[in-house]
Amino acid sequence: MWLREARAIFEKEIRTEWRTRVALSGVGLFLLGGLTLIGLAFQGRRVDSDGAAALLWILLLFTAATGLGRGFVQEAERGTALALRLHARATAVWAGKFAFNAALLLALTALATPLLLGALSVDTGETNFGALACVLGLGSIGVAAVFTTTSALVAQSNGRSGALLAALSFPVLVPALFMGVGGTKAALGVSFTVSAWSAASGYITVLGSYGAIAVAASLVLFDYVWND
Amino acid sequence: MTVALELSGIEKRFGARRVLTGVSLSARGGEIVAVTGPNGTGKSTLLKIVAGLLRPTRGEIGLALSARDFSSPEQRRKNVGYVAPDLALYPELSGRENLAFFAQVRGESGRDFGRALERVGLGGREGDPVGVYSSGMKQRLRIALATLFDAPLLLLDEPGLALDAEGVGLLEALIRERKEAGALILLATNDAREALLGDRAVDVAA
Repeated sequence: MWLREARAIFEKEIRTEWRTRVALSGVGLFLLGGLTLIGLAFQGRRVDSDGAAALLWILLLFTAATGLGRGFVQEAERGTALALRLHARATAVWAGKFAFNAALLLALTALATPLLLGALSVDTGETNFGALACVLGLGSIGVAAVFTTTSALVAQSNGRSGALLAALSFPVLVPALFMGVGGTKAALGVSFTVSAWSAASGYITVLGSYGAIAVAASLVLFDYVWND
Repeated sequence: MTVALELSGIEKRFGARRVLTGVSLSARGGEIVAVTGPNGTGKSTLLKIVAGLLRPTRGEIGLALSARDFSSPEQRRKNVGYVAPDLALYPELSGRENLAFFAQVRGESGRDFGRALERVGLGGREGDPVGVYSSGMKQRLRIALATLFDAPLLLLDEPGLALDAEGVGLLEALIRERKEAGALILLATNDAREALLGDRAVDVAA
């Protein structure tokens, strides 16, 4: 029952996004612009894993802020939130929106990572791609969970400003960003004394825990955010 | 299913502004209650409170269906059909897709969406995106959604808004049909003709 509600909302998100392409065009433009600027700035010079990890997470963070922050705000601005509140359970609404945001961010991460590593001529000889996928996947899920919830908080405020989204999201995202950058560096093969997987596994554990806590806390708190 | 609604001393404040001051009402299924009062006196707020979309500052709401208690906001939301000017449907989806989406969310996908749209005069336009609907057509779609699930409690806030004469006729027929089926209908309106549909009137400003 609950899963069916969440799935219906997830499918509605995909259908409405496919028809309007509001989030897709926003994040697509940001991603393309970011990658082009980075490529022009470095002009084929090799960047080490520290720089590559930082640039990758900057790109992912701002892409997420551009694309994932609109979901609930748009529902509130258009008046569709009222109908959604009447017919669906709060946690199912959150889960459907989160599933859409996570899927979008995971797809963008999968697209952006090889392009960025290529643009920065990063040496991937020591890279553990499984560990890199785990770090980026779990990090994206945590970031999507935080942006989904803060988007709902912003939608309930009268100002509904982007500044509020940033102010609410950033402090909560700091641990995920810290672990994401560290884990990405480790997975890219920064350490010459241990394997990339060993170096990244601690970060992966923390990112997995962060994502689980972000999802659980959002599900517990969302009823108050949505209905009050 | 018999429905009974009991409102006792409902008050609502938005900050320092008091909108409702101790509204009490007792009503049963098969009844139409016109909720009247000047602009800004809380007719829409009262309906939102009954629908479970707003919490009252003070007061009690009781909703019983076949003598079972359904008073919590979550239970009330599942048992109301609701029409309001600020309730919007998804403009990218067609009228039919909107009904199908909300039916899927409620686990009632087996409903006859074509018939629901025919009854409000949207039969030929069910595949068009709601974004291209006129105001009157959007209102008809809200009415179709509110009556789709045969809810025992129907909350209608200015239901005749933007409707043409044919639309008003269809709306009145639907209201009478739901009344005969045993539904309790609260009708918030400023339209004197519309208020006459009520078996009695409650003035929220009194």
